[in-house]
Amino acid sequence: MTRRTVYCFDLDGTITDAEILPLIAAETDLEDEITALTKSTIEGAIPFDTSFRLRCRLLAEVPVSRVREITSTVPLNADIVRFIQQRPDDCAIATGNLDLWVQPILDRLGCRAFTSTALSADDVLWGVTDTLYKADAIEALQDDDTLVVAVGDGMNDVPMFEAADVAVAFGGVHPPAEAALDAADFVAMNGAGLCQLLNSL
Amino acid sequence: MIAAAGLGSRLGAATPKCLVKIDGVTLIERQLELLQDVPEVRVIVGFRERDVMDLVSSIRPDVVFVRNPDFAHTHTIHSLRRALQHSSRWFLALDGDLVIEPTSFRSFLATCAATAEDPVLAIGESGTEDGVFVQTATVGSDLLITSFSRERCSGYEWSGMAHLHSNHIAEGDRFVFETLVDSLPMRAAVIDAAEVDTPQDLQRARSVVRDWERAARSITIEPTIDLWETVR
Repeated sequence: MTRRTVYCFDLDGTITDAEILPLIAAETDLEDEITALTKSTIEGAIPFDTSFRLRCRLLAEVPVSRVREITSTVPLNADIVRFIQQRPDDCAIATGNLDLWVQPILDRLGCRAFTSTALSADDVLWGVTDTLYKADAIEALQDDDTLVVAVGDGMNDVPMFEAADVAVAFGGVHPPAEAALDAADFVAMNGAGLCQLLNSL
Repeated sequence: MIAAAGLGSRLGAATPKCLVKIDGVTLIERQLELLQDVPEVRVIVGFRERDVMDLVSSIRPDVVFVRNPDFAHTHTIHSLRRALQHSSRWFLALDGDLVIEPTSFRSFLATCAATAEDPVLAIGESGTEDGVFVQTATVGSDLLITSFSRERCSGYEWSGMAHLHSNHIAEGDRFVFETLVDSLPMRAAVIDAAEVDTPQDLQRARSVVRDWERAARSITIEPTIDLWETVR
C-alpha cells in the first residue's frame, strides 16, 4: 500500500470552468457552429479526433496570440488548482487541446502535460500534427509502484479511464458524459468533493 | 459511507430504497440532514444510480459517489470495499434504508468520536422482519456484542450502522456481519432506528418517525412554558 499516487486530469470542462474552444469561437462568426460541435463531441456523437481537427481548422483564423490571451484568463476550478499546485510532481494534465493554445494554463498549473500538438508560423495556426490519445498519457505515467488516478468529464476521457487504476468522473462544469460516467469508479460533482476523494487515494 | 446501491427487491418498489419517502421526505434526504456536520460523505450507488446522484448532489454537491455496477449480485460489503479502495481509514458505514432518530444518531457519532480507534456497532431494539440479531454482554460500563445470529436470540438487532476500519471489511464476499464475526467481541451502542426492507418495515418506519417527531415537538414546547412561568 505504499504505492505512489499520480493524478491525471483532463483540462477542458474539468480544470477549466468553461470549455475552451467555444470561448475561442466567440472571436469568429462561427460561435454557434463550434459550440454545437463541442457539445456533440462531449456527448460522443462525433469522434474527438475528427471533431477536434475540424474545429481547429475553423478556429485557425484566430491569431495564436489572441487564443493565448483567452486561455490565460479562462476561469479555473480553485480547488483543483490548489490541489495540483500543492503536489505538482504527482500531477499531470492530459488534454486533447493544442499545446500552443493552452500553454498559459499549463504554466499556471506548473505540472507536466500531455497535449495534442500543432505548428504555427507568424501567429497563424498551420495545422494539427498530433492528437492525443489519452490512454497513452496514462501508460506513460504507469509503473508497478504507481497508482494512477484519472479525472475527466468527456467521451475522450474514456480510454484514459479504462487505462487508469482509478477513474473519477467529474461533473463540476456540466454533468459527465454518459460514457465517462459508465466507465468511472467514482463520481464527484464539485471541486471540494473531488479533492476530498483524491486526498484519500 | 452510505450503501445505497441495492435493488430493494423485498420492498417491491420500482425506486431504490433510499428514495422511498416517509412523510414526503426520502430516506436519503433524512440521512443527509443527520450528516450535515460530517465533513466527508460518500454514497455508493448502483440501481438507478443517476436518480440517486441527481437528488443527493442537488442537496449536497460535495458528496462523492462510488459506483457499484455489480449491485444486482453483490453484497453490501462489496459496495463498502469499492468505496474504500486504495485507502486505509476509519469510516462510518450506514445503509441507505435506515431511518434514525436524530438525537440518538448524534450520541452515536459522539461515541464513535470518543472511541476514535475502536469499532462501534449501532444496535437497536429488534423490529424488522428478518434482522441480524446480536447477543450482548456488559463489561464494566461497556456494552459488547458477543455473537450475531439470524435467529431471534435477544431483544437487539444490528442496525447495519457501524464505525469501522477498512481492515475490518478487507476479506471475503459474505454479509458484513459474517465478516465482522472474526473481530468479536465488539463494542455496541444503542440507537433508535428502523430499517426498511419490506412493506411491513416501511409501515413500521412511518409510525416510528411520527412518534419521534411528536416527541421532538413536545420537547421544544416545554422550555417555552417554563420560561413563561419564570417571567410571571
